[in-house]
Amino acid sequence: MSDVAVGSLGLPRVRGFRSAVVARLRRDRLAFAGFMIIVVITLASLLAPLAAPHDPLEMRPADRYAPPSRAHPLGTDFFGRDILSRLMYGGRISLLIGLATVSINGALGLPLGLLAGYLGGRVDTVIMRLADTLIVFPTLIFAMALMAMRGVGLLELVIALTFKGWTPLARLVRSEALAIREREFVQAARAIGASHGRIIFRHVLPNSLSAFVVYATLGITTPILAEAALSFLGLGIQPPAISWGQMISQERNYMQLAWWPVTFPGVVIALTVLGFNLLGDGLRDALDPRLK
Amino acid sequence: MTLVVFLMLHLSGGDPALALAGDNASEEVLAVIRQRLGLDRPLQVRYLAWVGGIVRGDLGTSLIDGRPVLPTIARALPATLLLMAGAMVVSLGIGLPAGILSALNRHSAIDHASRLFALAGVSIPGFWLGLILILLLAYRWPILPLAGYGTLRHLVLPSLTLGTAMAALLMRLTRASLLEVLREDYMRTAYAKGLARGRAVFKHALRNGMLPIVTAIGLEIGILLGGTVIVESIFSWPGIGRLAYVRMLQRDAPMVMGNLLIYGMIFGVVNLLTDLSYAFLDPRIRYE
Repeated sequence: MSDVAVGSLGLPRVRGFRSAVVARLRRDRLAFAGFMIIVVITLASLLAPLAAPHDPLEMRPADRYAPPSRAHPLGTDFFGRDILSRLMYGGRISLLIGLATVSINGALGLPLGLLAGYLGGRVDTVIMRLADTLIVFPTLIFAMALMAMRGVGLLELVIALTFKGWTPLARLVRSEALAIREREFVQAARAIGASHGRIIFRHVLPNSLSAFVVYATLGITTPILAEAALSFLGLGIQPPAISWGQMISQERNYMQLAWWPVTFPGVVIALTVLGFNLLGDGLRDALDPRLK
Repeated sequence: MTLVVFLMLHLSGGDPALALAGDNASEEVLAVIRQRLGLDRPLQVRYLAWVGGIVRGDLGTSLIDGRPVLPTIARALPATLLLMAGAMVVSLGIGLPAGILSALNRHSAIDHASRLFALAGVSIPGFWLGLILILLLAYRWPILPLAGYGTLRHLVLPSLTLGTAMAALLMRLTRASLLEVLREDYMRTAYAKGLARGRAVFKHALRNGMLPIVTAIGLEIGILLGGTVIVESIFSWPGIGRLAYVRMLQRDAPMVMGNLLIYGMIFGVVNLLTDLSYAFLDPRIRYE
């Protein structure tokens, strides 16, 4: 997959869909930039226990609000804790919640959308009616209400974000499945006696996967932003666990004293979301060249 | 919709009586409170009682201050609508012109700047943007009030905070939609028959490119609604978002249910208006 086949004369050889996609992605500088941002932030988060310059929880009152310096590249917060180290640990939670939420949304939305689109009829009506009902509540308010009533925690947060998070994907996959169902190759498969299960898994699912890949890349930004917002409101990740939104929340009342504890976590959130947006846009263009 | 709201809050655990009486209240006290709130009745009875109340315009009474829910929400609603109007002005005022200029001058400096803005706008978390605006425009260069409600000046920062992300989305969409329309045959016809560029764009391209934009505006209002909670709590804006947030923290279930219901209803109305506006924008669409 990594080896892009290009002839010695610069003429593209005949190649598979996947390598064609990778080749198109490579030419897309913005998508590549997005990919690099994601790689850097993921590595920094994964390697936090090894690479973080300080203990993220260690309080040093003497170092309170130390501005960015060589010892503390992004400064320290109210408790004298190193902001860079806290950001690295905070990234683990943000990415974990993003991945978990997108996976569960995929596990719910993909089959539900496939079934609704392929089977149609009453199944379609029930699933889509449920989706229509859930979609009227703003994600954030819905999640807030759940968190406030159920109690806060990592698991509760993921539940709150997946409760209605699967609906956009289900709609997307449904419309793909609807379109694919009518294509000649599906009718041909049905004509030679393929079962519904076989048609769904062999024909409809693979053809809906591009939609899913794009959704997953762009869609991970929603839980990341929602987690940040919820933690900012005190309804998300609680100390001593660290999250970017929570870091901003703790420091917002002291913004006048020091700008860095509030600024840098926001920059990191924005960069992370930007990275996924750039890569997702690039993926969409690469998977569906007709759009460009 | 009522069922979702109701079940969500009632199956989610958390005993309102406990929340009301404090953690170390005696069992007898709790029982009395439960009875007074009707919590000793079975779930389906309580649901029907609640829905019956909604039909009569009664959303119940708050657990915290004992006041009826609906008037409390109604009092807070104008502030939220004002804030959303402000945010719409910001997003339409920035998003539409930026998108149009961007599409008409593809690959120009304006185009690049607008697309950069669009990318930044959708990536920056709203609450952080609000804090940075406060930091810069209320603390560093104190030209705007840092929080509160009343004058037009108070409206500026919250509207900017809420409207920026939507401006970015609108800009992206306007640009994409216009680029598509500009390629159409009737645009070539319009130029061929000698229409000036500006006239062709405004008479033909914009009218035809508006449909997806209006759809998006309808959908994005849902996101704006969600954003009001955060923006209102940052800027102490006395709307239903802050009301919902404060009451959530106090676990005031009737108030929270009422709030969710109102949010859902606003969204529903907006969707309806969006659908109706199609017929206005595209004469081919008719509703029976």
